[in-house]
Amino acid sequence: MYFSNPLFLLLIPLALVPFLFKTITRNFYSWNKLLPNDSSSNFLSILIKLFNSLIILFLIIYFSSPHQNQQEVTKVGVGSQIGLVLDRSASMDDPFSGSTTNDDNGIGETKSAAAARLISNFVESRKNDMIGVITFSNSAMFVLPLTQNKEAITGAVNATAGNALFQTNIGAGLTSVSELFAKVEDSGSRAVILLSDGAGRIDAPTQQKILDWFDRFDIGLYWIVLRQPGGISIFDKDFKHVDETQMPPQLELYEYFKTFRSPFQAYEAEDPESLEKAIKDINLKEKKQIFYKEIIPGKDFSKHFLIAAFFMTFLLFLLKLIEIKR
Amino acid sequence: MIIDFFNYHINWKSRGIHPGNHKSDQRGMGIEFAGHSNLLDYPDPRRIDLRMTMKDPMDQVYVRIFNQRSASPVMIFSDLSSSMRFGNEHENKIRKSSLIAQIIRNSAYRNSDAVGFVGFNNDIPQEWTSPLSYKPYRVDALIKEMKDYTPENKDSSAITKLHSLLPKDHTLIFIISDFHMPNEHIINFLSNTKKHTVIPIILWDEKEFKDLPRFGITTLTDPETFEEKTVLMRKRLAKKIAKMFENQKNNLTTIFNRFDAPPFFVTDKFNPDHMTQYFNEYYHA
Repeated sequence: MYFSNPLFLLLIPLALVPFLFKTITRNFYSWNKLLPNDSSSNFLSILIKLFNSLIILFLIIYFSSPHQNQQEVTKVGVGSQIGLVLDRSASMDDPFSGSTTNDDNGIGETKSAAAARLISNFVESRKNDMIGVITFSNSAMFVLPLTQNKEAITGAVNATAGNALFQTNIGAGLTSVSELFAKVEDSGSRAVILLSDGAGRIDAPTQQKILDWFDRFDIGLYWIVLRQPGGISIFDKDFKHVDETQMPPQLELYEYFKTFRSPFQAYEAEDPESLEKAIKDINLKEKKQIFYKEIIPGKDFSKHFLIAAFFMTFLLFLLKLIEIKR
Repeated sequence: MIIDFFNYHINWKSRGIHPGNHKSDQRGMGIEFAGHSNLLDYPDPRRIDLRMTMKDPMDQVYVRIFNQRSASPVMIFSDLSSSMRFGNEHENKIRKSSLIAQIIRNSAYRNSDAVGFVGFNNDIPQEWTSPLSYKPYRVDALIKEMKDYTPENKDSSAITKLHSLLPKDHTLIFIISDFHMPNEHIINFLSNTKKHTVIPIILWDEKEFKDLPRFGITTLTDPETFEEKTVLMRKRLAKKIAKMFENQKNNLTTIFNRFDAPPFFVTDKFNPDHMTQYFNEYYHA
C-alpha cells in the first residue's frame, strides 16, 4: 500500500481523541455512582467511542489517499509499433487541387488537415498500437514517443494540421523516427508511415545511416506521397528524365527506398479519397500479433475508507435518533 | 407569601439565657417550678411562698424558684455541591433546599431561637456562612441568594469540617443535602456532631429514579467528577436504578439511625406538617 499524501498520516494520533477527552454533554445526573454497572451500556459506550475514533482514522487515511502501486501487464494483441513521420513543409498547407470536399469558405481542405483527419481516424481504428509522432520540415521535430495513449496520439496528429513551416527534410525525419524504436522493446511488428508531398534529397551518409537503422530495428516503411496533379509519378516507368545529371527527387528517393532490406511499400495520393485508400491498405497490412505491455494503475483505496467513514457516521446518526432528549 | 413553618421542640434542657420556647435550666420568669430558696439568697419578693414560710419552724422567708423557657440555637447546613443542581432551571434541588431553609428559619424565628446558616461544598466559603443570630437578616439574604446559585464542579467534601462552625451549646442542626457522597463523609460528620442533635433532610428528586424514559441512549455526566456514563436505557435498567436508590435509602437510614439521627426523606414537596410529625415522633418533650 502506498500513500500519495503520507504527511497526513502524522495526524493519526488524533484518532485517540474520543478516548482521551470527554464530550461534556451538560446532561448532568446527580450521582453516577448510583447508576448500575450495565454491561450492554458499557459495550455501547465503547462502541460509540470506537466508531468516533475509526471515523477520524479513516478520514485521515482517506486524506492521505492510499493506493496500490501501478502494475505492468504483458498483453497479447493485434497491432504494431508505428512511427508516423509527417511532413510539415509549407507546401502541405496547400489544398489538394481538384478537391471536392469544400468547406464553407469554399476553400478546399489543405493537405495537412486532410492528412491529420485521416490519420487520426486511422489511429482511432487501431486497437493496441503503439504510435509515435515525428514531424519534419527544415529539420525533424520530436512530437511524441511511442505510446499507447490514444488521446496523446490524436492530439499530436491534430497539432500537425496547423500552420506549416518551410521545407522538406525527409532525411532528418527518418533518422529521428528510427530513434523512437531504439529504446522500445520489439513487439514483433514495426512500421514507419512517411507522409510527404514531393520529396527532398538525402545525402549519401544519411542514406546509409537510415538504411542501417531500419534494417537493424526491422522497420517496415510505408511511403505516402501526396502528388501534385500533373506532377511526376514515382510509379511512372516510362518517365525519362531530361536532366542527365540528376533524377527528380521523388524518383531518386523511391529508388533508394527500394534498396531497403526491410519491407517497403509506396502509395501515391492525389486527393483525400486516394489518401484514405492508402491508409486503409496500411491498416489491413499491419495486423500482426504483438506483445505489448500495459500499465494498469494501482487501485485507489481512499474511496473505500471514505465510504466506511460515512457508513459509521450513518450508524452513529441512527444511534442519535434514539437518544433521549430532555 | 404564605409563611410556612413547622413546630419543633427539643428533648433536652436548653442552657441558653435568652428567653425562648424551650425547657431550660436557667432560673427566671417561667412556670416550671424548680425549688425553693430563701429570700436572702434570691431576693424576689414577688415570689414569696407563704405556705412554705409558715411551715418553716426557723421563720425563714421562702421564695419559689422557676426555670425560665430559653432559646436554643438552630443551625442550618445546606449542601451547595454540584449534584444539588439536579433538575431544570426552574426547579432544582438547590431551589428546593432554599425553600426548606426558609421554612426552618421561619419556624426558628417563631420559637425565638437563634438561627445560623452555612452553605458548604468542597469548601466552606466565608460568603456562605451566617453566624447564629436572633435577628437572622443575613440568613434571609443567603437563603434568597442561594436560589440562583449554580456551583460548578464542586463536591460536598467540606461536610467533614462543618462541626468547627457549631457553638458549644447543644444545637439543633438541620442539614439539607442529597447525601450523594461517600459513607465515610457522612459518618465523619455525624461522629463530630454527637453532642448536638442532627436532623438530616435528604433531598432527592423523583426524576432521579422514577418514571425514567422507557428506551433510548443518553450520556450522563456526573456534575462533580465529570465522569461520563453512556446508558442504554431500557425497562430492566430503570428497575435496576430504582433498586440502587432503594439500597442507598436503606444504607443512609442505617447510618443515620446508628447516630440517633432519624433521616427525613424529601422526594416530592416539602411538607412542614410532616416535619412537625417527625418532631412529635422522635423528639417528644
